[in-house]
Amino acid sequence: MKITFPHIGDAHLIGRIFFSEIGINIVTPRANTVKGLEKGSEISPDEICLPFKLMIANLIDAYHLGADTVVMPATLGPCRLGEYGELLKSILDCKGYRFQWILIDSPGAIGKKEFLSRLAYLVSESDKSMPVILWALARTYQIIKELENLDEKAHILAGHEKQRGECKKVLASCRRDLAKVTGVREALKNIRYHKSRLDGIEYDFKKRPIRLLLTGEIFSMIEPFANHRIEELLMDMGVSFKKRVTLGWWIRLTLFHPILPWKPLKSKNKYLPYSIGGYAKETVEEGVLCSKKGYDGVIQLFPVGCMPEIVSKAVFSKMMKEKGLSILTVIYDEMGGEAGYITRIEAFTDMLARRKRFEQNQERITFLKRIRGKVHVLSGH
Amino acid sequence: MYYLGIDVGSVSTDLVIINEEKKIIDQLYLKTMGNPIEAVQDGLRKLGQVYESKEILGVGATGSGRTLAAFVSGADIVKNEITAHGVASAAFDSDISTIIEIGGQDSKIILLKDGVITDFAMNTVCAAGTGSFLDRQAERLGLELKDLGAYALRSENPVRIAGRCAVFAESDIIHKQQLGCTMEDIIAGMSKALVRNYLNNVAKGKELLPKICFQGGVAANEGIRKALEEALNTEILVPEYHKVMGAYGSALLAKELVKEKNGGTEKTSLMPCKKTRFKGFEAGNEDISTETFECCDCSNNCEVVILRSAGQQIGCFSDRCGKYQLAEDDLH
Repeated sequence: MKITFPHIGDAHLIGRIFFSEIGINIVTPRANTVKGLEKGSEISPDEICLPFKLMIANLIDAYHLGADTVVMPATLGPCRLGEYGELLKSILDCKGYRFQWILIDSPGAIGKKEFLSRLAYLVSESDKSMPVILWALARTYQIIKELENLDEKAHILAGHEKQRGECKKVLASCRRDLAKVTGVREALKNIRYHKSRLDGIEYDFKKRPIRLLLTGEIFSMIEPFANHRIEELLMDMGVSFKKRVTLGWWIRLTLFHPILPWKPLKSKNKYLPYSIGGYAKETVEEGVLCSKKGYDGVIQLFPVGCMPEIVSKAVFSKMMKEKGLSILTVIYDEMGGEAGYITRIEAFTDMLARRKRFEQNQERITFLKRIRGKVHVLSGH
Repeated sequence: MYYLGIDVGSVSTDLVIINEEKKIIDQLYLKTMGNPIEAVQDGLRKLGQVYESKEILGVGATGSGRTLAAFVSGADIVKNEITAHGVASAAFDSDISTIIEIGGQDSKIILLKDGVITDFAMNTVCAAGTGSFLDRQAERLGLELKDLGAYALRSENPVRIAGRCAVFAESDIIHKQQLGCTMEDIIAGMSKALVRNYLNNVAKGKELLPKICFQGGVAANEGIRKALEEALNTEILVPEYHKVMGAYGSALLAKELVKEKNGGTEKTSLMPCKKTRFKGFEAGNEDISTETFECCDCSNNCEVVILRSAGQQIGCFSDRCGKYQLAEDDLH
């Protein structure tokens, strides 16, 4: 059994570490490229969104590299993504790419028993005992969490660094090393080493960079190719930002949450109280969070044609009026030209920065006026 | 002492020179003609005949070709068009609350409050309501672009033309022509369609408060201006320098930057602590060549573009890892 799975952010790094720990061969498709995307669009339905086209290209690539089993995280939701597993399967079957399929659906949708039996099948060829596999699984989750903490820290510190680009370099070096490590322990050691490197950079904490919240459709959020490396772009611009939708977030929301009912992830919002598919409800909650936690603005990302996110975009325009939020929506598709995206994002961050500066100036002026008023009173005017 | 602003757009390349009092001293409006490097160089050569390089204290670049313009001229500040247009309008008239900007390839709306941008939007997927559409229709009707406005104003019964998509609009125009409608009515209908498209797509959900300022290349068209006034039922202001507002804004940004770099003092001419990166008007005579290749050092396979002047690298695009980039000097 040679396992493969499509690219989504760091999944290939983490998957490789886990499966090599338990002695299963995996095939990693080559990274997403424009050429791969072309191949993917040829075989996909025309109206389908960008994530699908990229995933199908990855799987074809992995097939040529010798893979025979696909592990696909599907969520079986009302969004098209729920059918992705099935749709990928039937298209690839038609075209003669014969794979075994293991669809990791949410235990809430397929039942805990079925979920666990699919997981058991996934590790059936491992020569390790069950406790070892469970240990590796737990440690892998720890890798995901620690890597996310590292990312989160770097994203916030990027706004404060004295030498632009240092945080970005640490993240890139961490990922380069993770691609080479041989086991779980080494991986954790590597992440911790990079965390200490991040602490060693010189920062200027007097700087008050603008703070953004990044949210939107999950694939576009996690896979750098699908969002034209927006994280690196923002770090280059010296923006502090937070991104809550990550691989670990998805695991907690769809896998842990239904199994472990004592881990509540619920929050309510009056704008979109029901789940309408995909993660629209969660995106709207992020917007609410932004207004509570004092972020300067929100950037929402999604691929063309993503129904749930289109709904949350509509909710956002209401929230912009009611709560005075600043939200920029960036919609991605096959278009490769980056100038348009950069212009919009740069203009958005510029707008927030200039407004912040203006407000600070206004505050200073009113403060000075108040003091002067007092002086006048004291001197008897 | 002057500041230079360069705006490289899809259709035109504009250069503006301002003085210390933020007044426009000189302006150039050149056609980009698909060759932005040559357009910028041409502009520099023309200005070089009147001004001396050492009179320029700072240079700003904007527009879709801003990075290229910065490589060619050595700009101190490279900023997007939205910020540049916002800054320019605020300096032109501080009462402006709404900026409608329609250029060659994109159209935008910028909302200002107290001279600070509070919101903006740009056309998303399609360029139906922009200057290139007008350009193409003028060519098809065998007219000069600058005459379209006059035709539209003479119309008495504008025909209805679908404005959602440039392709549909064109077939509508052809259909109306075959019915024998007059050129004037068709052009007026087209202007109305363009305005409708703009208000429904770009300005959707935004509150357009007066004063409304209309700028960009399309603002020269009186027909569009009239259609906008009718649709919004308010007077619309077209600044004298509406075509070069982007370049004006970037010159202002350069002035702002120089002031900031010199510790917030205005009198930069007396004590220029930091030198501008401006290469001088002689840069207009440099022989610039470009090289494009696919870098195969990692799986990204970036398509790298390198700009060279007399064998020396002056700039580079599209390398993700940044290894082909020149080292940054102390100005940024």
